[in-house]
Amino acid sequence: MAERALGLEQIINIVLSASVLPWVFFFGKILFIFTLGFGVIAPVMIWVERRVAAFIQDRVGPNRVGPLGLLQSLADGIKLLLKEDLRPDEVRPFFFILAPALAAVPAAMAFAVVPFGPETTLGGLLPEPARLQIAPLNVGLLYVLAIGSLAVYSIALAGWASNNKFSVMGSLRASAQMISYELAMGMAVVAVILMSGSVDLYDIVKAQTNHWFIFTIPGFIAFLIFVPAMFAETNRTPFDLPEAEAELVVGFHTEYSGMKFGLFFLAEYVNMTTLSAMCVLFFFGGWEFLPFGLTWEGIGYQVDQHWFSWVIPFAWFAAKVAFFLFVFVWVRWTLPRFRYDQLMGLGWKTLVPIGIANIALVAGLITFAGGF
Amino acid sequence: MPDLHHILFFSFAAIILFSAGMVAFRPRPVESAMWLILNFFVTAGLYVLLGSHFTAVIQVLVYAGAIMVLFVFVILLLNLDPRELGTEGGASWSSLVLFMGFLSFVLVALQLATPDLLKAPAALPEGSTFGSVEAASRELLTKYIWGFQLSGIILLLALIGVGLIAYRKAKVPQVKGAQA
Repeated sequence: MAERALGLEQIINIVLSASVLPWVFFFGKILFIFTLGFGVIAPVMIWVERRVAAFIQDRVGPNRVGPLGLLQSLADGIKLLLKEDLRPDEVRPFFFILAPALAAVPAAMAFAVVPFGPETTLGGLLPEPARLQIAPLNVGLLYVLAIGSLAVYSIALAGWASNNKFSVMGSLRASAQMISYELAMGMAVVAVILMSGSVDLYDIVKAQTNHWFIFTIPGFIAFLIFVPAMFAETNRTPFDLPEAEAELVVGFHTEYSGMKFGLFFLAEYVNMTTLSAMCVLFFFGGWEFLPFGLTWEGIGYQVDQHWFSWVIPFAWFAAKVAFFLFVFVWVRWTLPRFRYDQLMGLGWKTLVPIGIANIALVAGLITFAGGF
Repeated sequence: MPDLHHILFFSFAAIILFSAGMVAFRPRPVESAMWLILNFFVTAGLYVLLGSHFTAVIQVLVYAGAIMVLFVFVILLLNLDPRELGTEGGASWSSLVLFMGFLSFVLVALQLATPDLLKAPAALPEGSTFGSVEAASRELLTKYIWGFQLSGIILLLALIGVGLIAYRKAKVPQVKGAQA
Protein backbone atom coordinates (compact mmCIF):
# COMPACT_ATOMS: atom_id res chain seq x y z
CA MET A 1 0.00 0.00 0.00
CA ALA A 2 1.45 3.28 -1.02
CA GLU A 3 1.76 5.74 1.81
CA ARG A 4 0.41 9.16 1.12
CA ALA A 5 2.11 12.17 2.59
CA LEU A 6 0.00 13.84 5.25
CA GLY A 7 -1.61 17.04 4.08
CA LEU A 8 -1.39 20.12 6.24
CA GLU A 9 -5.08 19.89 7.06
CA GLN A 10 -4.73 16.31 8.28
CA ILE A 11 -1.77 17.23 10.46
CA ILE A 12 -3.77 20.05 12.00
CA ASN A 13 -6.68 17.68 12.60
CA ILE A 14 -4.43 15.18 14.35
CA VAL A 15 -2.85 17.88 16.48
CA LEU A 16 -6.24 19.24 17.48
CA SER A 17 -7.78 15.86 18.27
CA ALA A 18 -8.78 15.54 21.90
CA SER A 19 -6.31 12.77 22.70
CA VAL A 20 -3.22 14.44 21.27
CA LEU A 21 -3.84 18.09 22.11
CA PRO A 22 -3.04 17.93 25.85
CA TRP A 23 0.32 16.40 24.95
CA VAL A 24 0.97 19.03 22.31
CA PHE A 25 0.05 21.65 24.89
CA PHE A 26 2.32 20.03 27.46
CA PHE A 27 5.40 19.83 25.24
CA GLY A 28 4.56 23.17 23.67
CA LYS A 29 4.77 24.81 27.10
CA ILE A 30 8.17 23.25 27.79
CA LEU A 31 9.52 24.23 24.40
CA PHE A 32 8.10 27.73 24.68
CA ILE A 33 9.39 28.56 28.15
CA PHE A 34 12.87 27.10 27.75
CA THR A 35 13.39 28.62 24.33
CA LEU A 36 12.30 31.89 25.84
CA GLY A 37 14.50 31.55 28.92
CA PHE A 38 17.73 30.25 27.49
CA GLY A 39 17.36 31.27 23.87
CA VAL A 40 15.84 34.73 24.07
CA ILE A 41 15.90 36.31 27.53
CA ALA A 42 19.47 35.38 28.49
CA PRO A 43 21.16 36.54 25.24
CA VAL A 44 19.00 39.65 24.98
CA MET A 45 19.65 40.50 28.63
CA ILE A 46 23.39 40.22 28.10
CA TRP A 47 23.03 42.65 25.21
CA VAL A 48 20.81 44.96 27.30
CA GLU A 49 23.33 44.82 30.12
CA ARG A 50 26.15 45.95 27.87
CA ARG A 51 24.14 48.61 26.07
CA VAL A 52 22.70 50.07 29.26
CA ALA A 53 26.13 50.00 30.90
CA ALA A 54 27.49 51.84 27.90
CA PHE A 55 24.64 54.34 28.04
CA ILE A 56 25.17 55.01 31.76
CA GLN A 57 28.92 55.42 31.22
CA ASP A 58 28.37 57.60 28.14
CA ARG A 59 29.79 55.04 25.70
CA VAL A 60 28.24 53.36 22.66
CA GLY A 61 28.38 49.68 23.53
CA PRO A 62 28.16 46.74 21.13
CA ASN A 63 26.35 47.96 18.01
CA ARG A 64 28.05 46.19 15.11
CA VAL A 65 26.70 42.60 14.95
CA GLY A 66 23.16 42.65 13.59
CA PRO A 67 20.64 45.45 14.03
CA LEU A 68 21.64 47.62 17.03
CA GLY A 69 24.19 44.96 17.89
CA LEU A 70 21.45 42.56 18.97
CA LEU A 71 23.28 39.52 17.61
CA GLN A 72 26.38 40.28 19.68
CA SER A 73 25.38 37.67 22.29
CA LEU A 74 24.97 35.07 19.55
CA ALA A 75 28.44 35.84 18.24
CA ASP A 76 29.83 35.67 21.78
CA GLY A 77 28.05 32.36 22.35
CA ILE A 78 29.64 30.88 19.23
CA LYS A 79 33.00 32.21 20.35
CA LEU A 80 32.61 30.62 23.80
CA LEU A 81 31.60 27.28 22.28
CA LEU A 82 34.50 27.19 19.86
CA LYS A 83 37.11 28.24 22.40
CA GLU A 84 39.68 25.74 23.53
CA ASP A 85 38.46 23.86 26.59
CA LEU A 86 41.19 24.97 28.97
CA ARG A 87 41.74 23.13 32.19
CA PRO A 88 44.46 24.41 34.48
CA ASP A 89 46.88 21.81 35.77
CA GLU A 90 46.14 21.49 39.46
CA VAL A 91 42.36 21.67 39.46
CA ARG A 92 40.16 18.81 40.70
CA PRO A 93 38.98 17.73 37.25
CA PHE A 94 35.62 16.15 38.06
CA PHE A 95 34.37 18.97 40.28
CA PHE A 96 35.86 21.57 37.97
CA ILE A 97 33.53 20.34 35.23
CA LEU A 98 30.62 19.58 37.56
CA ALA A 99 30.42 23.11 38.96
CA PRO A 100 29.21 24.95 35.84
CA ALA A 101 26.69 22.17 35.19
CA LEU A 102 25.43 22.57 38.75
CA ALA A 103 24.94 26.26 38.04
CA ALA A 104 22.89 25.74 34.90
CA VAL A 105 20.70 22.84 36.06
CA PRO A 106 19.06 24.44 39.15
CA ALA A 107 18.54 27.60 37.10
CA ALA A 108 16.57 25.59 34.54
CA MET A 109 14.76 23.60 37.25
CA ALA A 110 13.52 26.71 39.03
CA PHE A 111 12.43 28.16 35.71
CA ALA A 112 10.13 25.17 35.21
CA VAL A 113 7.58 26.27 37.82
CA VAL A 114 7.33 29.93 36.84
CA PRO A 115 3.73 30.48 35.72
CA PHE A 116 3.52 32.84 32.77
CA GLY A 117 -0.17 33.41 32.17
CA PRO A 118 -3.72 32.78 33.38
CA GLU A 119 -5.38 29.39 33.34
CA THR A 120 -6.63 28.74 29.85
CA THR A 121 -8.57 26.17 27.84
CA LEU A 122 -7.03 27.60 24.67
CA GLY A 123 -10.44 28.94 23.71
CA GLY A 124 -12.24 25.70 24.45
CA LEU A 125 -9.75 23.34 22.80
CA LEU A 126 -8.70 21.71 26.06
CA PRO A 127 -11.29 19.82 28.11
CA GLU A 128 -10.49 21.70 31.32
CA PRO A 129 -8.55 24.87 32.19
CA ALA A 130 -4.83 24.19 32.17
CA ARG A 131 -2.10 26.23 33.75
CA LEU A 132 0.49 28.04 31.71
CA GLN A 133 3.28 26.58 33.80
CA ILE A 134 5.45 23.61 32.94
CA ALA A 135 5.12 21.85 36.29
CA PRO A 136 1.89 22.79 38.09
CA LEU A 137 3.19 22.10 41.60
CA ASN A 138 1.02 22.98 44.56
CA VAL A 139 4.21 23.77 46.50
CA GLY A 140 5.57 25.98 43.73
CA LEU A 141 6.89 28.75 45.95
CA LEU A 142 8.72 26.40 48.30
CA TYR A 143 10.12 24.59 45.28
CA VAL A 144 11.61 27.80 43.91
CA LEU A 145 13.22 28.52 47.29
CA ALA A 146 14.51 24.95 47.57
CA ILE A 147 16.04 24.89 44.11
CA GLY A 148 17.37 28.40 44.57
CA SER A 149 19.21 27.25 47.66
CA LEU A 150 21.08 24.65 45.59
CA ALA A 151 22.69 27.31 43.40
CA VAL A 152 25.33 27.95 46.05
CA TYR A 153 26.93 24.54 45.46
CA SER A 154 28.05 25.41 41.98
CA ILE A 155 29.84 28.48 43.30
CA ALA A 156 31.32 26.72 46.33
CA LEU A 157 32.54 23.83 44.18
CA ALA A 158 33.84 26.06 41.41
CA GLY A 159 36.03 27.91 43.85
CA TRP A 160 37.24 24.82 45.64
CA ALA A 161 37.91 22.81 42.50
CA SER A 162 39.83 25.66 40.88
CA ASN A 163 42.58 25.31 43.49
CA ASN A 164 43.13 29.04 43.46
CA LYS A 165 43.05 31.25 46.52
CA PHE A 166 41.07 34.00 44.84
CA SER A 167 38.48 31.45 43.78
CA VAL A 168 38.20 29.96 47.27
CA MET A 169 37.79 33.43 48.77
CA GLY A 170 35.02 34.12 46.27
CA SER A 171 33.32 30.82 47.10
CA LEU A 172 33.47 31.44 50.83
CA ARG A 173 31.97 34.88 50.42
CA ALA A 174 29.27 33.56 48.10
CA SER A 175 28.30 30.72 50.44
CA ALA A 176 28.02 32.96 53.49
CA GLN A 177 26.20 35.64 51.54
CA MET A 178 23.67 33.28 50.00
CA ILE A 179 22.90 31.51 53.29
CA SER A 180 22.34 34.88 54.97
CA TYR A 181 20.12 36.39 52.33
CA GLU A 182 18.10 33.22 51.77
CA LEU A 183 16.91 33.79 55.31
CA ALA A 184 15.92 37.38 54.62
CA MET A 185 14.20 36.34 51.41
CA GLY A 186 12.38 33.57 53.28
CA MET A 187 11.12 36.09 55.83
CA ALA A 188 9.78 38.31 53.07
CA VAL A 189 8.13 35.36 51.37
CA VAL A 190 6.48 34.11 54.58
CA ALA A 191 4.58 37.41 54.75
CA VAL A 192 3.37 36.82 51.18
CA ILE A 193 2.33 33.27 52.07
CA LEU A 194 0.39 34.54 55.09
CA MET A 195 -1.37 37.19 53.01
CA SER A 196 -2.35 34.84 50.19
CA GLY A 197 -2.90 31.77 52.35
CA SER A 198 -1.16 29.49 49.89
CA VAL A 199 2.21 28.40 48.59
CA ASP A 200 0.79 27.78 45.13
CA LEU A 201 2.06 30.47 42.76
CA TYR A 202 -1.30 30.57 40.95
CA ASP A 203 -3.21 31.09 44.19
CA ILE A 204 -0.82 33.89 45.15
CA VAL A 205 -1.67 35.71 41.94
CA LYS A 206 -5.38 35.02 42.43
CA ALA A 207 -5.24 36.45 45.95
CA GLN A 208 -4.07 39.75 44.45
CA THR A 209 -7.10 40.26 42.22
CA ASN A 210 -8.39 43.12 44.34
CA HIS A 211 -5.20 44.59 45.70
CA TRP A 212 -1.68 43.85 44.69
CA PHE A 213 0.42 43.03 47.73
CA ILE A 214 2.75 45.94 47.00
CA PHE A 215 -0.11 48.29 47.97
CA THR A 216 -0.55 46.74 51.40
CA ILE A 217 1.65 47.81 54.31
CA PRO A 218 3.12 44.37 55.11
CA GLY A 219 3.41 43.63 51.39
CA PHE A 220 5.41 46.79 50.85
CA ILE A 221 7.74 45.97 53.74
CA ALA A 222 8.18 42.45 52.38
CA PHE A 223 9.00 43.94 48.99
CA LEU A 224 11.67 46.17 50.53
CA ILE A 225 13.27 43.06 52.05
CA PHE A 226 12.83 40.95 48.95
CA VAL A 227 14.60 43.26 46.52
CA PRO A 228 18.00 43.46 48.29
CA ALA A 229 17.78 39.71 48.91
CA MET A 230 17.14 39.27 45.19
CA PHE A 231 20.34 41.14 44.33
CA ALA A 232 22.35 39.24 46.93
CA GLU A 233 21.05 35.84 45.80
CA THR A 234 22.14 36.48 42.23
CA ASN A 235 25.51 37.86 43.40
CA ARG A 236 25.07 41.08 41.53
CA THR A 237 26.20 44.59 42.34
CA PRO A 238 25.89 46.09 44.94
CA PHE A 239 26.40 42.65 46.47
CA ASP A 240 28.80 41.10 43.96
CA LEU A 241 31.51 40.46 46.55
CA PRO A 242 32.06 36.87 45.38
CA GLU A 243 33.30 38.36 42.10
CA ALA A 244 34.73 41.67 43.31
CA GLU A 245 37.08 42.35 40.40
CA ALA A 246 39.23 44.81 42.28
CA GLU A 247 40.29 42.35 44.96
CA LEU A 248 39.54 38.81 43.77
CA VAL A 249 40.19 38.96 39.99
CA VAL A 250 36.67 37.62 39.31
CA GLY A 251 36.32 35.33 42.29
CA PHE A 252 34.92 31.87 41.89
CA HIS A 253 35.12 31.68 38.11
CA THR A 254 38.66 33.04 37.75
CA GLU A 255 39.93 29.78 36.24
CA TYR A 256 36.98 29.22 33.93
CA SER A 257 36.91 29.97 30.25
CA GLY A 258 35.00 28.95 27.17
CA MET A 259 31.56 27.43 27.53
CA LYS A 260 32.18 26.46 31.16
CA PHE A 261 32.30 30.18 31.91
CA GLY A 262 29.37 30.59 29.51
CA LEU A 263 27.21 28.30 31.67
CA PHE A 264 27.86 30.42 34.78
CA PHE A 265 26.98 33.48 32.78
CA LEU A 266 23.80 31.92 31.35
CA ALA A 267 22.70 30.67 34.78
CA GLU A 268 23.10 34.16 36.25
CA TYR A 269 20.69 35.65 33.74
CA VAL A 270 18.17 32.82 34.02
CA ASN A 271 18.24 33.18 37.82
CA MET A 272 17.70 36.91 37.45
CA THR A 273 14.67 36.19 35.28
CA THR A 274 13.25 33.67 37.74
CA LEU A 275 13.64 36.06 40.67
CA SER A 276 12.18 38.98 38.70
CA ALA A 277 9.21 36.77 37.80
CA MET A 278 8.83 35.83 41.49
CA CYS A 279 8.90 39.48 42.45
CA VAL A 280 6.13 40.25 39.94
CA LEU A 281 4.09 37.23 41.08
CA PHE A 282 4.43 38.06 44.78
CA PHE A 283 3.90 41.80 44.77
CA PHE A 284 2.71 43.05 41.39
CA GLY A 285 -0.24 40.82 40.61
CA GLY A 286 1.47 38.57 38.09
CA TRP A 287 -0.27 38.89 34.72
CA GLU A 288 -3.23 40.88 36.06
CA PHE A 289 -3.77 44.19 34.28
CA LEU A 290 -3.89 46.88 36.95
CA PRO A 291 -4.32 46.88 40.73
CA PHE A 292 -7.54 47.59 42.63
CA GLY A 293 -9.76 45.14 40.80
CA LEU A 294 -8.95 46.29 37.28
CA THR A 295 -8.29 42.76 36.07
CA TRP A 296 -8.52 41.62 32.46
CA GLU A 297 -12.11 40.54 33.10
CA GLY A 298 -12.70 43.87 34.83
CA ILE A 299 -11.89 45.82 31.68
CA GLY A 300 -13.83 43.41 29.49
CA TYR A 301 -10.99 41.36 28.02
CA GLN A 302 -11.71 37.63 27.85
CA VAL A 303 -8.47 35.77 28.53
CA ASP A 304 -9.94 32.53 27.21
CA GLN A 305 -11.89 33.67 24.16
CA HIS A 306 -9.58 32.45 21.38
CA TRP A 307 -6.73 29.99 21.53
CA PHE A 308 -4.25 32.87 21.43
CA SER A 309 -6.01 35.15 23.93
CA TRP A 310 -3.53 34.29 26.69
CA VAL A 311 -0.82 36.12 24.76
CA ILE A 312 -1.91 39.59 25.94
CA PRO A 313 -1.76 38.78 29.70
CA PHE A 314 1.48 36.92 29.03
CA ALA A 315 2.97 39.94 27.28
CA TRP A 316 1.88 42.15 30.18
CA PHE A 317 3.52 39.76 32.63
CA ALA A 318 6.66 39.69 30.48
CA ALA A 319 6.72 43.50 30.46
CA LYS A 320 6.60 43.60 34.26
CA VAL A 321 9.38 41.03 34.48
CA ALA A 322 11.39 42.98 31.91
CA PHE A 323 11.11 46.05 34.11
CA PHE A 324 12.68 44.23 37.05
CA LEU A 325 15.39 42.81 34.81
CA PHE A 326 16.12 46.37 33.80
CA VAL A 327 16.28 47.37 37.47
CA PHE A 328 18.94 44.69 37.96
CA VAL A 329 21.05 46.25 35.22
CA TRP A 330 20.29 49.80 36.28
CA VAL A 331 21.38 49.14 39.87
CA ARG A 332 24.49 47.29 38.79
CA TRP A 333 25.87 50.21 36.86
CA THR A 334 24.75 52.87 39.34
CA LEU A 335 25.61 51.71 42.86
CA PRO A 336 29.10 50.91 44.15
CA ARG A 337 29.93 47.61 45.82
CA PHE A 338 29.25 47.18 49.54
CA ARG A 339 31.96 46.15 51.94
CA TYR A 340 31.59 42.61 53.23
CA ASP A 341 30.80 43.56 56.84
CA GLN A 342 28.21 46.04 55.55
CA LEU A 343 26.63 43.27 53.52
CA MET A 344 26.42 40.92 56.50
CA GLY A 345 25.25 43.73 58.79
CA LEU A 346 22.47 44.68 56.40
CA GLY A 347 21.33 41.07 56.06
CA TRP A 348 21.43 39.94 59.67
CA LYS A 349 20.87 43.14 61.62
CA THR A 350 18.39 44.93 59.39
CA LEU A 351 16.54 42.73 56.92
CA VAL A 352 16.03 39.63 59.10
CA PRO A 353 14.67 41.49 62.18
CA ILE A 354 12.41 43.65 59.99
CA GLY A 355 11.25 40.47 58.27
CA ILE A 356 10.36 38.80 61.57
CA ALA A 357 8.55 41.94 62.74
CA ASN A 358 6.71 42.01 59.42
CA ILE A 359 5.55 38.41 59.86
CA ALA A 360 4.22 39.31 63.30
CA LEU A 361 2.50 42.34 61.77
CA VAL A 362 0.77 40.31 59.04
CA ALA A 363 -0.26 37.58 61.45
CA GLY A 364 -1.57 40.19 63.88
CA LEU A 365 -3.48 42.05 61.19
CA ILE A 366 -5.07 38.88 59.86
CA THR A 367 -5.99 37.58 63.31
CA PHE A 368 -7.19 40.76 65.00
CA ALA A 369 -8.16 43.11 62.19
CA GLY A 370 -9.47 40.45 59.84
CA GLY A 371 -7.42 41.67 56.88
CA PHE A 372 -4.38 43.64 55.95
CA MET B 1 5.57 -6.61 35.08
CA PRO B 2 6.93 -3.86 37.30
CA ASP B 3 5.23 -0.53 36.78
CA LEU B 4 6.88 2.89 36.66
CA HIS B 5 6.35 3.39 40.39
CA HIS B 6 8.33 0.26 41.20
CA ILE B 7 11.10 1.03 38.74
CA LEU B 8 11.49 4.52 40.17
CA PHE B 9 11.38 3.28 43.75
CA PHE B 10 14.07 0.69 43.25
CA SER B 11 16.32 2.99 41.23
CA PHE B 12 15.98 5.70 43.89
CA ALA B 13 16.63 3.18 46.64
CA ALA B 14 19.71 1.89 44.84
CA ILE B 15 21.06 5.42 44.36
CA ILE B 16 20.39 6.25 48.03
CA LEU B 17 22.25 3.17 49.26
CA PHE B 18 25.12 3.68 46.85
CA SER B 19 25.54 7.36 47.71
CA ALA B 20 25.30 6.59 51.41
CA GLY B 21 28.15 4.14 50.95
CA MET B 22 30.17 6.70 49.04
CA VAL B 23 29.70 9.26 51.83
CA ALA B 24 31.48 6.89 54.15
CA PHE B 25 34.18 5.71 51.78
CA ARG B 26 35.38 8.75 49.85
CA PRO B 27 38.68 10.13 51.13
CA ARG B 28 37.99 13.83 50.63
CA PRO B 29 35.35 15.49 52.86
CA VAL B 30 34.05 17.61 49.98
CA GLU B 31 33.34 14.52 47.90
CA SER B 32 31.54 12.90 50.81
CA ALA B 33 29.47 16.04 51.20
CA MET B 34 28.52 15.97 47.52
CA TRP B 35 27.40 12.34 47.79
CA LEU B 36 25.37 13.22 50.86
CA ILE B 37 23.64 15.99 48.92
CA LEU B 38 22.78 13.52 46.17
CA ASN B 39 21.48 11.20 48.88
CA PHE B 40 19.18 13.89 50.32
CA PHE B 41 17.99 14.83 46.88
CA VAL B 42 17.00 11.31 45.92
CA THR B 43 15.38 10.80 49.31
CA ALA B 44 13.19 13.76 48.38
CA GLY B 45 12.34 11.76 45.25
CA LEU B 46 11.12 8.93 47.47
CA TYR B 47 8.83 11.36 49.30
CA VAL B 48 7.42 12.48 45.96
CA LEU B 49 6.68 8.84 45.14
CA LEU B 50 4.78 8.64 48.43
CA GLY B 51 2.70 11.64 47.34
CA SER B 52 4.13 13.99 49.93
CA HIS B 53 5.34 16.95 47.90
CA PHE B 54 5.60 19.17 50.95
CA THR B 55 8.00 16.86 52.77
CA ALA B 56 10.02 16.43 49.59
CA VAL B 57 10.45 20.16 49.06
CA ILE B 58 11.26 20.74 52.73
CA GLN B 59 13.81 17.94 52.56
CA VAL B 60 15.60 19.68 49.70
CA LEU B 61 15.19 23.14 51.22
CA VAL B 62 16.41 22.29 54.71
CA TYR B 63 18.84 19.42 54.29
CA ALA B 64 20.26 19.82 50.80
CA GLY B 65 19.87 23.59 50.64
CA ALA B 66 20.75 24.78 54.13
CA ILE B 67 22.45 22.21 56.32
CA MET B 68 24.73 20.83 53.63
CA VAL B 69 25.66 24.33 52.47
CA LEU B 70 26.90 24.88 56.00
CA PHE B 71 28.85 21.60 55.86
CA VAL B 72 30.47 22.51 52.57
CA PHE B 73 31.17 25.98 53.90
CA VAL B 74 32.96 24.60 56.96
CA ILE B 75 34.92 22.10 54.86
CA LEU B 76 36.04 24.89 52.55
CA LEU B 77 37.00 27.06 55.53
CA LEU B 78 39.14 24.31 57.02
CA ASN B 79 40.59 23.60 53.57
CA LEU B 80 42.37 20.50 54.80
CA ASP B 81 45.60 19.55 53.15
CA PRO B 82 45.33 16.13 51.47
CA ARG B 83 48.47 15.09 53.39
CA GLU B 84 46.83 15.90 56.71
CA LEU B 85 43.88 13.71 55.79
CA GLY B 86 46.16 10.74 55.40
CA THR B 87 45.59 7.79 53.16
CA GLU B 88 43.56 5.57 55.43
CA GLY B 89 39.84 5.71 54.91
CA GLY B 90 40.37 6.04 51.19
CA ALA B 91 37.87 4.42 48.90
CA SER B 92 38.55 0.74 48.97
CA TRP B 93 36.27 -0.84 46.46
CA SER B 94 36.25 -4.18 48.22
CA SER B 95 34.86 -2.62 51.40
CA LEU B 96 32.25 -0.80 49.36
CA VAL B 97 31.19 -4.01 47.68
CA LEU B 98 31.06 -5.72 51.07
CA PHE B 99 28.89 -2.91 52.41
CA MET B 100 26.49 -3.10 49.47
CA GLY B 101 26.39 -6.87 49.75
CA PHE B 102 25.51 -6.63 53.41
CA LEU B 103 22.69 -4.19 52.68
CA SER B 104 21.35 -6.44 49.91
CA PHE B 105 21.48 -9.35 52.33
CA VAL B 106 19.44 -7.40 54.87
CA LEU B 107 16.90 -6.52 52.19
CA VAL B 108 16.56 -10.11 51.01
CA ALA B 109 16.25 -11.33 54.59
CA LEU B 110 13.54 -8.74 55.23
CA GLN B 111 11.70 -9.76 52.08
CA LEU B 112 11.80 -13.41 53.09
CA ALA B 113 10.81 -12.78 56.70
CA THR B 114 8.04 -10.26 56.15
CA PRO B 115 6.86 -10.18 52.52
CA ASP B 116 4.36 -7.41 53.25
CA LEU B 117 7.00 -4.98 54.49
CA LEU B 118 8.54 -4.24 51.11
CA LYS B 119 5.28 -3.90 49.23
CA ALA B 120 4.77 -0.59 47.50
CA PRO B 121 2.12 1.49 49.26
CA ALA B 122 -1.26 1.67 47.59
CA ALA B 123 -1.73 4.63 45.29
CA LEU B 124 -3.40 7.65 46.84
CA PRO B 125 -7.10 7.99 46.10
CA GLU B 126 -8.04 10.64 43.56
CA GLY B 127 -8.38 14.11 45.08
CA SER B 128 -6.60 13.12 48.27
CA THR B 129 -4.95 16.04 50.06
CA PHE B 130 -2.42 13.80 51.81
CA GLY B 131 0.99 15.39 51.87
CA SER B 132 -0.21 18.79 50.75
CA VAL B 133 0.96 21.85 52.65
CA GLU B 134 -2.51 22.35 54.14
CA ALA B 135 -2.81 18.78 55.41
CA ALA B 136 0.72 18.63 56.76
CA SER B 137 0.53 21.97 58.53
CA ARG B 138 -2.89 21.19 60.02
CA GLU B 139 -1.47 18.02 61.57
CA LEU B 140 1.62 19.87 62.78
CA LEU B 141 -0.33 22.68 64.39
CA THR B 142 -3.01 20.55 66.01
CA LYS B 143 -2.04 16.97 66.70
CA TYR B 144 1.71 17.48 66.98
CA ILE B 145 1.68 21.02 68.35
CA TRP B 146 3.73 20.21 71.46
CA GLY B 147 6.48 18.43 69.59
CA PHE B 148 6.50 21.19 67.02
CA GLN B 149 6.79 23.93 69.64
CA LEU B 150 9.36 21.97 71.60
CA SER B 151 11.64 21.56 68.59
CA GLY B 152 11.23 25.28 67.95
CA ILE B 153 12.38 26.04 71.48
CA ILE B 154 15.35 23.70 71.14
CA LEU B 155 16.40 25.47 67.96
CA LEU B 156 15.96 28.84 69.65
CA LEU B 157 18.17 27.70 72.54
CA ALA B 158 20.82 26.58 70.06
CA LEU B 159 20.60 29.96 68.37
CA ILE B 160 21.05 31.81 71.67
CA GLY B 161 23.94 29.52 72.56
CA VAL B 162 25.69 30.25 69.29
CA GLY B 163 25.14 33.94 69.83
CA LEU B 164 26.65 33.77 73.32
CA ILE B 165 29.72 31.88 72.14
CA ALA B 166 30.31 34.26 69.26
CA TYR B 167 29.79 37.29 71.49
CA ARG B 168 32.37 36.15 74.02
CA LYS B 169 34.95 35.66 71.27
CA ALA B 170 34.35 39.15 69.96
CA LYS B 171 35.35 40.68 73.33
CA VAL B 172 38.97 39.68 72.82
CA PRO B 173 40.78 42.95 72.03
CA GLN B 174 41.53 43.10 68.35
CA VAL B 175 41.85 45.54 65.51
CA LYS B 176 38.45 46.26 64.04
CA GLY B 177 38.04 44.59 60.67
CA ALA B 178 36.70 47.77 59.15
CA GLN B 179 39.82 49.76 59.97
CA ALA B 180 42.38 47.07 59.24
